[in-house]
Amino acid sequence: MDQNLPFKYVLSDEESRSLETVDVYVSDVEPKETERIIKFIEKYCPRNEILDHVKRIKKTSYDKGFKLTVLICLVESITITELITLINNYNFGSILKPRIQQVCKYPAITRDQFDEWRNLWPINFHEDFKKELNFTLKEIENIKQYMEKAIQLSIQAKLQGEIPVGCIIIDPKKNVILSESFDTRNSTKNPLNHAILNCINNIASLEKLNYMKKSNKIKNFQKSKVDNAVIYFNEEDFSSQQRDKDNSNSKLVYLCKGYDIFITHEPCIMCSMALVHSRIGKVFYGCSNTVSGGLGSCYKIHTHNSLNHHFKSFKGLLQHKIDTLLIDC
Amino acid sequence: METIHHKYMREALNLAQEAYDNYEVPVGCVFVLDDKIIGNGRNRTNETHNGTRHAELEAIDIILSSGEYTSEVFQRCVLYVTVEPCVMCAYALRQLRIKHVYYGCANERFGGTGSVFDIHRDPKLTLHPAYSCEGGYYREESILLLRKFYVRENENAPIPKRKHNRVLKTEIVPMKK
Repeated sequence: MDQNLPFKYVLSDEESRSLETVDVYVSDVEPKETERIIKFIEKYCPRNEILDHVKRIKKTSYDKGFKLTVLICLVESITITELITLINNYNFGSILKPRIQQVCKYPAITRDQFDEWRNLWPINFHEDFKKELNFTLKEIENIKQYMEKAIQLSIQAKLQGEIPVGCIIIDPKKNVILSESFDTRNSTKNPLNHAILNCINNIASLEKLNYMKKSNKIKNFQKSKVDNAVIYFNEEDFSSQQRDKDNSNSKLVYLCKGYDIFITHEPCIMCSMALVHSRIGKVFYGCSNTVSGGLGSCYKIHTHNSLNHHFKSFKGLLQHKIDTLLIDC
Repeated sequence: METIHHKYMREALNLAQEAYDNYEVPVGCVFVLDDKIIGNGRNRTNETHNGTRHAELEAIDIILSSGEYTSEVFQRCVLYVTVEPCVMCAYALRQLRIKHVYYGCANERFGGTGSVFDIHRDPKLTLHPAYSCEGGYYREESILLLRKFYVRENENAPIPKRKHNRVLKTEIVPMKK
């Protein structure tokens, strides 16, 4: 990334993998023969979908002129003897001399992968990845402030004898905090009352109230009584009319869809999966959790292929500050 | 052969049916301590607008808020749940040091005790001991309830899918061993 960000993107396995190659047959070709050869390859040689990210022709430039090399097919799809017979049958024997070459096996997702892998053989690349990871200065400033808020909550937790983990859920489109919470495992004597589950429960209580209000199931809308006493919310920001306007295209607000969460520590596996179930937008955390972290350390639940919701996670935000303040966490 | 496990799993299935009757994903569970059910739960994600209110978490909260037990009780408890615990619940159970888990059918999409991950026994997770897990009790009944649910339309989804073309399949592939 070009930007100097105060946090690091948590790469998925696909995004962080290093170069893996696969063997293919290639042949140098005369430029004037290229069109005819490609027609032959496309019509008669095995088609390899796993090579869709690889370019068909490699151009090597010299001081005076250039050389073209064409990719024929995967080595595993045909033996060299069969391939040579095929070439001879169509009278390309004099202009196609197959040899084995390595190309990258998987499509490049990040710019770093692309820059490295293209040296082997030209590949296609779509820069969608980077777009989502750019932040304006204003956004970065907000992100830091949100984490400051989460840190304050973790300090509050610590003062109350709780495990010092704080978190907030925000609506990034309106730039408002929707829910604040911290870990309450100690006071509630429930080992599952982690900050994130508390925060999600709170959002759900609000969603339910809004839903009931809208469907006139309760006439007098009162400020909700939520389980977790430290949580409060801004009724104005959360009014159903406001949210309906913002979500005019979708029928209903759904769980934490489109919301971002800021948490001082990497969510554990349970909380990471709770965020998948809640369809969270983005996650920002400070310190990594090497013993039970689900967003990078032990598992990468946010990017796992078989799970039905994926989200971007960012780590290391204000980590020094969290480390210093919560040294005996 | 009828075993004690079938008895408790039938209780869990009754709760799954209750969930189905209330337009919830039909999953139910019971926690058993010394041959006695001390708490039960069923999925309430739609009712609560909360995607994390799975049967297991419902039951755990009921048991802990009863005032009768502390969280140490789970170390002596066996869980019967109609569907393999998801990744979230699998780690919740590990944190509670659950003794053993029996489930009906596997959960190919979210399962945390064998299908997607092995959260129950991953040696990398050193904070809490591993637990054992066993599937297959009333598996077909559990699957059919889920299928019935997914054939029915979910009005709570952001864009409810029209499913009038769907038909309930009743044949079940034998369990993978």
